[in-house]
Amino acid sequence: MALGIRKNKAKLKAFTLIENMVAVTLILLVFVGASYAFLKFSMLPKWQEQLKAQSLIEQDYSLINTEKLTVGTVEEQTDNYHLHRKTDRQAERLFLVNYKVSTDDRIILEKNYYYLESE
Amino acid sequence: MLRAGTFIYALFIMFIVSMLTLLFLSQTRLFSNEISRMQVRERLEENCISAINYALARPSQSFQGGTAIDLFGKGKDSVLIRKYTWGLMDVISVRAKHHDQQRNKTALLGYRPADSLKTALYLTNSESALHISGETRIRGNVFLPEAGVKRAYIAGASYFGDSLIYGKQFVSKKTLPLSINAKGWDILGQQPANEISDWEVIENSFADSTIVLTDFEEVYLEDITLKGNILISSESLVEIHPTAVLEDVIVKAPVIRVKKGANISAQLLAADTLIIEEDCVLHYPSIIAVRSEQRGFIAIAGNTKVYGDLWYKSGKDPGSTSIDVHIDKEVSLTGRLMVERGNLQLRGKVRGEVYAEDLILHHPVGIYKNHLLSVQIDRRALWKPYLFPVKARENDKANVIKWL
Repeated sequence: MALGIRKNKAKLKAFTLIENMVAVTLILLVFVGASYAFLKFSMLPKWQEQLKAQSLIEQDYSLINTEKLTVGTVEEQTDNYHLHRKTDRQAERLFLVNYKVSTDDRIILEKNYYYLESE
Repeated sequence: MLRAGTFIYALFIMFIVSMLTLLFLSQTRLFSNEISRMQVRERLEENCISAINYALARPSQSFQGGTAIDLFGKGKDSVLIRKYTWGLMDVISVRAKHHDQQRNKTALLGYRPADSLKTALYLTNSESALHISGETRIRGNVFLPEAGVKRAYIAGASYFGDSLIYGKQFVSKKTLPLSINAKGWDILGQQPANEISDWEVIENSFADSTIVLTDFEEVYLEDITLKGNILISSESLVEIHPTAVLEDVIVKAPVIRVKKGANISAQLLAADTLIIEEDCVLHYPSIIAVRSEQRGFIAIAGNTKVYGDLWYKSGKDPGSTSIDVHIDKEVSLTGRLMVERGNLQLRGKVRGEVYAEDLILHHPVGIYKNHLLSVQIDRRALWKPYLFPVKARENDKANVIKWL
């Protein structure tokens, strides 16, 4: 009988251990899921949008050269982003280039550069 | 009734969850901060370059003492711009700041003529015509005396070529169209000086104050590396040996001698005599200059290559047959050669521009005025965006020649 009681106690201990491990794993899973959801739906899109806007501006600015540069406004649509470039002459060789990248409903990034005519 | 073990169990789970939440929140905050800092860093870098462009388009005397400006007038992009001289060259330094972050950028400036004439040779208007002989080639536009250009016959050599000048020809004025500001030369060495000792390697950033290594006696630069914001000066002679590594530094002395085989990039500013021996290379942007109250002398020996500008100016009129600047055969100078109040004997090759008041040719058979014998001057060989290290005219356009 004593042996039976000991066996039952051991079974119960093992069961409790498994139960605990399952509980902790579930908590961790819930936590990881929540983190993923938080990043996916709140922070990441913002960072990704900004990085994309930044790369669009840099790509366009690096292609600017004196022949191509015209005073006025140029607008381009890339994927879901709207790139707006406004160029003003500030001095004999100096241009102010203003960039705005926006989606349908809001401006994501605005940047300004002074461009010096080299030729 | 709850057992004590259940309570401890609940506390343990709460602890784990709160730790994980804390970790997660800190990590998000850290990422957020890092991304913001990265974006600010990038914006500061861009603002530095924008500020330099902004300053280069303004008159050269602007920003001399250091001026803080709001770059785009939106109260968010504050930059401090400072222009100053470094010997015969100009330096621009900018600092962009945003809260606790800041970025500095410093550059050496170079200049391009405002006109698009691409002058190969400017010889001031005297009574004597330019005489060319042998395999002389002048490619680019020229400004010559009213008497123009003629073929000459020297020691059995006539002129070989279809055309005398491979470019347009204009009449020059009686004075050279140069206005070199030597203020930067005059103020050199006003900083506290250090005695030259046994230092082997010194690199000094342009963000720090200038290191002045000075001596009243002769200075021999051997087995030494000097880079950056360093001035080496002597009251008598500086001799640069091939084992010396010089980069962006200034050497100032009455007499400077660069020994055979030296390989440097520097401004060599002599008050009397400057001699460069055979097989040397002076890397871009180097400057060779003599500005003398009496009559100075520059000599560059064969097989030497110079990438930069040469400027000679004397306080006295040259003798009628003396040689004040001698560029030997097989010398190659890429840049601008300017000789004011001195006789230039040019025997080598210039890829760039030559400004002279008088040319002289000492030949075993005689001495000839305004003669060129087998000389190459090719302005077209300079690549389009080439910048001359010295600002030679008031309306020259500045740009960045080298980031420091």
